[in-house]
This record gives sequence, structure tokens and C-alpha cells, in this order.
Amino acid sequence: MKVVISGIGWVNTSGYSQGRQAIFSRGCEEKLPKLLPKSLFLKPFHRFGRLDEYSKLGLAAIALALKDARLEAWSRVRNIAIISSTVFSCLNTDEQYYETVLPEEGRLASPSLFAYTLPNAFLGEAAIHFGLSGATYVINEPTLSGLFGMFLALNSIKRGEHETVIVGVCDYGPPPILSTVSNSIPEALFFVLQNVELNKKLLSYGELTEGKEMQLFFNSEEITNLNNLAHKCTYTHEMKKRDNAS
Amino acid sequence: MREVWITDSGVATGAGLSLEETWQTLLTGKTAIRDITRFPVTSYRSNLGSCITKLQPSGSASLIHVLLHLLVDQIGPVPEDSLLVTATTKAGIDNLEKLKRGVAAQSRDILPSALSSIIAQKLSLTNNRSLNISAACASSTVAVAQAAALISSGAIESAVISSADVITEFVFSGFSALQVLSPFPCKPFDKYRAGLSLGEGASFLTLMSASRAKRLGLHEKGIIAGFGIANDAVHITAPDRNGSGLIKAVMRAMDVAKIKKDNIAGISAHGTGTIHNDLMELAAFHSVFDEDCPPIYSVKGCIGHTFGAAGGIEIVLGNKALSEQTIPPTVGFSEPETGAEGLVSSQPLSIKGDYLLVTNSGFGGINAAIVLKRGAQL
Repeated sequence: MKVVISGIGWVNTSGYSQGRQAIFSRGCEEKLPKLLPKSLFLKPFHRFGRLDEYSKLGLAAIALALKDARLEAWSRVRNIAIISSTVFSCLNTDEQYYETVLPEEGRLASPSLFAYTLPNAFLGEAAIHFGLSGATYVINEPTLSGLFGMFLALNSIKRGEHETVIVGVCDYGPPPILSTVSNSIPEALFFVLQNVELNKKLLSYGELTEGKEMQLFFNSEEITNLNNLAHKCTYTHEMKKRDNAS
Repeated sequence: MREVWITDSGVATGAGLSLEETWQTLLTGKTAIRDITRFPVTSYRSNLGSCITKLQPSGSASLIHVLLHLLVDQIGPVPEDSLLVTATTKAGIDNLEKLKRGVAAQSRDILPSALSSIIAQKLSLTNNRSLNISAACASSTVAVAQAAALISSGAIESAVISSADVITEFVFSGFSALQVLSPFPCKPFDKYRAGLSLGEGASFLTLMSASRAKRLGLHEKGIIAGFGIANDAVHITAPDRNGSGLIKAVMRAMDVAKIKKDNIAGISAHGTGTIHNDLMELAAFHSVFDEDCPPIYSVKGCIGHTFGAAGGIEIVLGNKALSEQTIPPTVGFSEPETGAEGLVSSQPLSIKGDYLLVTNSGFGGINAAIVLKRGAQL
């Protein structure tokens, strides 16, 4: 079975884009760009503005990855999974929620904020908006890597559990109360993996394979970092595009 | 696909600090849901939960540390190359509460990945192969499914899956704000149920490929025969009324197990006691099993809803039920909800069969199902 990367989407402090429109890069600024729903979603997403920042970040990158793989449009729910890796997940939302509990001994606790104190809540939003009925879960890591999630995604496709998996990282950085613990910056990066045997015509950046010791290879070269993988995919694509144009 | 054996397992719950103790309490039909004294509850919809009496704060460490300490002594020797998969919804969120109130607390306990490092340290696992899975109230069911999938596909030989969650003001206030806490101990599948009761607890399962276990001279205490996960794609906090995601997860799990629906001898349901969850589950089980639905039970009337830890605890208890060929009573149940007539009981029931289905569902539309096969001994 051949599994390929068919789409890439990202949001970070350098901006937001998708693999076939820009070469992946990471900014070192502190602030994320303003996310404009009209530039992200094919169908109106009325609730988007009311979601917490962690959910918006992840949803935007998933939307861009699906758009890049031309899987954005749908009419029937699809057996597509989402696996997202994170360190701090929704802890910013957790802190905001607990600030509603502190006064009045919990009488003012916000139910709408509480619903987003689960790291996987945004995956549920993505499942609803994009019609995805596969497995959706979050992996918590001590440092942001996303490689184990990528391995699980590939394993799931190879076992025939899913034909397509959206996999990547989404982290909003530490909440104010933990700001001394880490200075990591917000970012989200998602890849779409697909079983090419089921659709020979699908778009591809290249093939993903696994090694015996749970290593991952992209076009036979070992992957050690998802940012490098995104850069490699998008840079190679851009060079091919320029070659074809000239 | 390779056979995945359960070679060791254990729990710590409000009903007992071991599998045997929890099981015996469960069989008596008594509830471990009592008044909460850990934090002020006068502002909330309920003052009830199933707390572990021995779980007392210890310095700046989170309660999750204390809970895992109670659990980890039960874990037997584990191969060094084991993958460690933990599952929790809110880890040591009690330490965020402390910090926000100006009390000294270990900040690293707040991160969900803290669970993996605490257990890896206690088990002396030094291979850096660990992860925590977060999928709301199906977290540990998903964790068991993923570990079993990796073993059955040959990617790994052995895994330890551990789940834990504690009752904190953070989660208690949230469920109260969502208006889902029952003012009396929860009554799963009962016509007069009025919501859920929270619980706390932890579990562990050691899973191995049959070949590795045989080589180590270990016996199968049960087998993870099938697993399935699916999303409703309908609502963030409410389940799909038709149970579409749960139906897909169950069908997938039975497909992986290569069994027919009449092989299932009993169902360990999520059974939270909320109006919508229990109706959704009954709709899904009737859709899958038609007229021949096997007996259904929920342990949450006894130990409460242990959120992210629920699946792990219920898989361990389900394996015990299969081994004993006895389905525990659904504590709190008396008047059946429509569709639960003749399927749910307040008394222990004898069963005859080799397979048991365990299901959990959670916020974000997630559903997970595990098919357990009876092992040689427990």
C-alpha cells in the first residue's frame, strides 16, 4: 500500500497558507495573524468567531490542509480521522475558564468556556464542519514533535482503518500563569495523508513510509521534524512549478 | 493481525483501591458516591461524587501524583521496550487551581504529558516511548485501541496503558454549569435519571503480542479482540440522537474481532445517567443488535463517571466480568427507560459467552468501542 502526503496547511506567526500556494516558513514574532473565515472556509462557519483561540488556530490549519488536498467540499460524511499533537493544548482556555469559577464560589462558571477546556474539542468542530466521521484525538507530548501522531496516522491507513488522515500539531503556547515555564509560540501545522491505491489521481507531495523501529521516511529520507518535512514538500513543489513555467 | 493479550491489569476507584475490592463492592450493588468534602460545593447543582478517601493533597504535588502512586504499586514487571500510553482529560488541573489561588504548586503536573513522565519514572521505563491521549471521556478507550492496533499490526510488542483523572473544583464546576450533574447518585438507564455523578480513579493494562507473552511465560488474562473509533460529526457537547458514531465504532470493533453480533455476551455501556447519553446508547445498541441485544450494564452508579479514566477502568472491570461470567449490577437503576426493559438489571447476572463489548463516548463527538475476548485465567 502506498501512502502519500496530499495536502499541507499551517498557521503561525509568519502568516497562514497552504502547500501549493507558498513555501512553508515559521515566524519568530509573538502574535498570530488575524484569521479571516472567508479566506479559510468554503462554507460559512458562523461559530468560528466565538471559539477559543486554540480551537481557531487548529481549525484554520486543518481547513487549509484540506483545501490544499482538494478535500474541502463534501456532501456525505467521510471516514477521515484527525490526530493532533500538542504540549499546552487548551491551557489558555482552562485558565480563562477558572477565572470565571473563582468569584462567587463557582456560581458564575461559564458553560461555554468549559466546553472548550478539552484539548479535542476543536477536532469535534472540524468533524462537524468538514463531515469527518473517523477517529479524532489529541496526543500530549512533553515537547512539540508530532512524529508519533504521524506514525499512528500511517499505521491507521495501512491497517485499512481510514483512507485519509489529517495529522499534525496545534499548540497555543503556555497560559499566562505558566509563561515562565516556556516561551514557545503559537503554531499549527497539518498534513493530509491518503492511501493512493484508492485514488490514483490524487495530489501528492511524495510518499510516506515507516521503518522497523517506528521511524518515518518521506521519499526514502528519514523525517526528524514536521517543520522540515513541510518545508521540504512545499519547497520541492515550488521548484517544480518554476521549472515547468520556465 | 496478531493476537493482543492482556497480561496484567488493575484499578483504583472510589469503590476500592484494587480490582478485587472494586469488583466486590460493585457486586454488592452499593454506591461509592457520597458527599464531596474536598472543596466547597454549596454553589453547585450537586454535592455528590465518588472520591477516593485515601486521596489527600500532598504538598505542592497534584492529586494525580497521589492517585498514580496508589495505582503503580499494582503493576507487575514490564518489558523495558514497552510503549507507555497514558490517558487523561485534565491531568493535574488542581495545580492550576492552586496557582490561581496563590498557593504553591508544581506547574509541570498541569500538563497532560505529566502522566507519562510520572508513570515512566515509577516503572523505570527509560526508552522515551510514551504519549498521552486526550479524547474527552473516551480518552482511555482510544488509548487502549491505539496500543492494541500497534501490537496487532506488528509495530510494537508490548504496551502499558494507564488512565487517571481526579475530581477537582475545575471539572465539578464545569459539569455543574453544563447542568448535567445529578442531585442524587446517578441512575444509568433509569426512567427517572437526572444526570451524571462524577468519580475519580485510575487503571492500567499491560498488553503484549501473544508471541512475546508466551516467550515470557505469561498467560492471557483476556484478549483485546477488536477496537473501533468514530466521530458523530453532529454536536460538540451532545451525542447524536441516532448514535451514528457509536454504531460505526461498534461495527468496526466487531469487524476487527471477526465476530458476529450474536457472539457478544454483554455490553459495558458508557451509561452516564444523562438523559441524552443513555437514550443515544440504547438507540445505537438496538440498531446494531436488533431484537437480540445482549444485557447492558453501567458501573457509573457505583464508581461515578471517571471521565478520561472511565474507559480503562471499565475495560479492566469488563475483563473481570467476562472471566467471572457475571455481569455486575447497574447500581441506582430501578425503573427502565424505554428500550432498556429486560436488558439492564440492578442485580448481578450470569452470562455465557466469550466476548464482551465496552463502549465510551465523549465531548467533541468521539465514540470508541473495544471487544474483549475471554482469556484463560484472571
